[in-house]
Amino acid sequence: MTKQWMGAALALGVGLCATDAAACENGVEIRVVPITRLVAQGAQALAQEHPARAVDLAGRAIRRIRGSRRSTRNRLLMNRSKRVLALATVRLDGAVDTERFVVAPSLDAAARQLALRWAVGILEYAFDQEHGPIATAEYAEALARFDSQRARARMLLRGLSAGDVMPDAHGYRVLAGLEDDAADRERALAACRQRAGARAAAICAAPAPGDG
Amino acid sequence: MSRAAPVALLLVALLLVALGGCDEPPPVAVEAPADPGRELVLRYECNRCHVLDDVPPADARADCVSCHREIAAGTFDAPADALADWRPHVEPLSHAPSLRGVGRRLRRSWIEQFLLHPHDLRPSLAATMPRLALDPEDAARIASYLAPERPPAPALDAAVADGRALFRARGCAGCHAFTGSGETPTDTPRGADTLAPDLRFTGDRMDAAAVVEQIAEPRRASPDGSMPTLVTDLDDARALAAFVLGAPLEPLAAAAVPERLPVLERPVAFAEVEARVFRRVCWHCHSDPDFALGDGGPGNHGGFGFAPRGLDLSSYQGVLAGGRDEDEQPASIFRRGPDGTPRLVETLLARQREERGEEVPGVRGMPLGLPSLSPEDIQLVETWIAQGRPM
Ligand code: HEC
Ligand code: HEC
Ligand code: HEC
Ligand code: HEC
Repeated sequence: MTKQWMGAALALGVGLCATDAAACENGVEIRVVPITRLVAQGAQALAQEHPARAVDLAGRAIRRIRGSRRSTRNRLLMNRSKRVLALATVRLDGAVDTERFVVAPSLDAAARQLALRWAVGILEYAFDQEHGPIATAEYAEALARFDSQRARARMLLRGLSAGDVMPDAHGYRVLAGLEDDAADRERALAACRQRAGARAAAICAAPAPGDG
Repeated sequence: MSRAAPVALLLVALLLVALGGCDEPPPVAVEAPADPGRELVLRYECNRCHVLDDVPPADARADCVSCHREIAAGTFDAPADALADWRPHVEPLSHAPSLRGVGRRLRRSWIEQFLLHPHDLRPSLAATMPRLALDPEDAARIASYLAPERPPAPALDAAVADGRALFRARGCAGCHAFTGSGETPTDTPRGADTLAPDLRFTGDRMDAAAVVEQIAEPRRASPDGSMPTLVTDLDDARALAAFVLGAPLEPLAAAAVPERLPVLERPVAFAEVEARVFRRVCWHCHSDPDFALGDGGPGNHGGFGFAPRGLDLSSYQGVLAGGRDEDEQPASIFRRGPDGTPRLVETLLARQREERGEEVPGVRGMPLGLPSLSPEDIQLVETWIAQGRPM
């Protein structure tokens, strides 16, 4: 079979699997499907600056999904749970046991490095899938933890800032740490404080990974 | 390319389906020969809101009006406490006119114009027909599919004044507005009665024979309708029709667009905007696909014929990340228009104008086809933006 035909078959197979159109599913699913609610709560905990709680919720979700049947819903929720877990791992400096999905403050530096590498892998996969601003910002936040990747992280975050699609204060905080020029750094910090609102002290004044 | 390729193609595709873990087997659709208008009705997904003669209903998870009505009736499969919480919120899109037999009632030319420039027909129905991304050719094809061309109906030889007396005597104004005719509504219609049109537009929409039929034999004219048979005498029906079609109408006073309120002094954080605006109305069409079985709704993955705009309004990150423009490039919903107004606010203000029969070029009003936000809610959104969109 030629490559073109393989491509066509792939497209056809994927097309047949496409879910039907829907609406209001966020309201309905999150309310009536416990596993969806669990993952949504994990995502929300992370967005509300509770990474340890996010690890707990996402970890529970992953264990539960592993024990249930394959479905479109479960596949999406598994991917999302891993993303939540990965970003929480980044925000917790790698202090997460990524096999048992629990916060592990006693991990040594080497183990934390391993956890962070796992997190980058997960977030890179999500980024490769769709390149949207949220996936981009999460991936860049993880990359910034690695000296060798600072330039790439800065390039990605500058793009989001230029397009005014930076998804939250963290992106600006990390960007500030990556900028060499004092004026650029201050601009990013100012944007961080605006987005962070009442949480500016916690998010924007604290040292960030990759701070140069 | 070998002859075996198509077979192999199918096998690989089926294998992918088997391995991919679809929830349901792919539907095997056997369609009648394609009418271009019918194809367009399917493409624009008119069946997510309307019942049609020759088009199957939308999938249960996609059918806006049916699902909302099931929730309102308590027949939707969900726990009782969820239904009770939802019920007060589904009303805005629980009813839409059935399009079965629409060609017997409405003129083709009117349908065509209405699809291109929809306006409010029913003052007590919250939803309106949304402004779809239809071009004039598509509108013409859809209109010819829905309504055959008919010979002009003979004029009525009945007196308008007799009709007006009957209109009052039979209590027609209990359900119908007739704006500008001097008749005022005597009641507030509820449920299916909200589908009673403002009779001001009937002369544009219907010819005399169709109006007589609707009055004398409502079920024949509107098979899914709910108008009661109040008149059996054909002469009475003709007199009423003469009144509906011939009553002198006052010109409509242009309804003022609500004043835009100045931004608030007090701090406004996202949680408040989310509760009052984004999660109350917007996220139903702009969902997070991960929590919606992969489909983020019409304002995210596309639907009603709209291209996917990728806009998820279900979370802070989604709102800030924006959507995609026509060139598939990320586009902030805070980008400024010519007068400095953020795009998000432009869409909310445009909806106020659409409700008053205006259109804002290049901006589609939001929420699409639903009541505009109150000036206070728009003020809240503007304040939050002016304060730097704090979390
Ligand atoms: C999101 C829901 C929605 C979609 C999608 C939709 N409509 Fe409508 N439509 C409505 C509502 C609500 C009304 C009633 C408007 C009013 O009374 O002001 C309406 C009114 C109409 C009417 C006037 C019927 C009457 O009896 O007054 C026609 C014709 C119509 N729509 C055709 C279409 C066609 C054709 C499509 C697809 C191209 C379509 N609609 C898609 C909601 C929708
Ligand atoms: C599977 C059932 C279902 C389907 C299909 C559905 N909805 Fe809903 N919708 C709901 C529920 C449940 C609520 C109430 C949610 C709540 O109260 O949190 C709701 C509420 C809404 C609201 C909020 C109204 C308000 O102002 O309070 C809007 C807008 C809405 N739906 C739009 C749509 C549109 C447009 C479609 C079709 C594209 C659609 N819905 C399809 C279940 C559904
Ligand atoms: C109980 C509510 C109710 C009452 C009372 C009522 N109607 Fe209706 N009418 C409707 C509804 C609902 C429709 C939409 C079609 C249907 O459901 O049959 C309608 C449609 C019509 C239409 C078609 C208008 C258009 O533009 O599509 C006409 C004309 C009409 N009614 C005239 C009358 C007259 C005249 C009376 C008094 C004899 C009357 N109606 C009383 C509910 C009512
Ligand atoms: C009934 C479904 C529906 C609802 C409810 C809805 N939207 Fe939309 N929205 C859409 C669709 C469809 C599009 C794409 C329109 C297009 O491509 O022209 C869209 C596009 C947008 C855009 C992009 C505009 C642009 O040009 O970039 C914004 C901003 C927006 N919506 C905001 C909102 C807000 C705010 C709300 C709630 C107040 C809301 N929407 C409610 C369906 C909806």
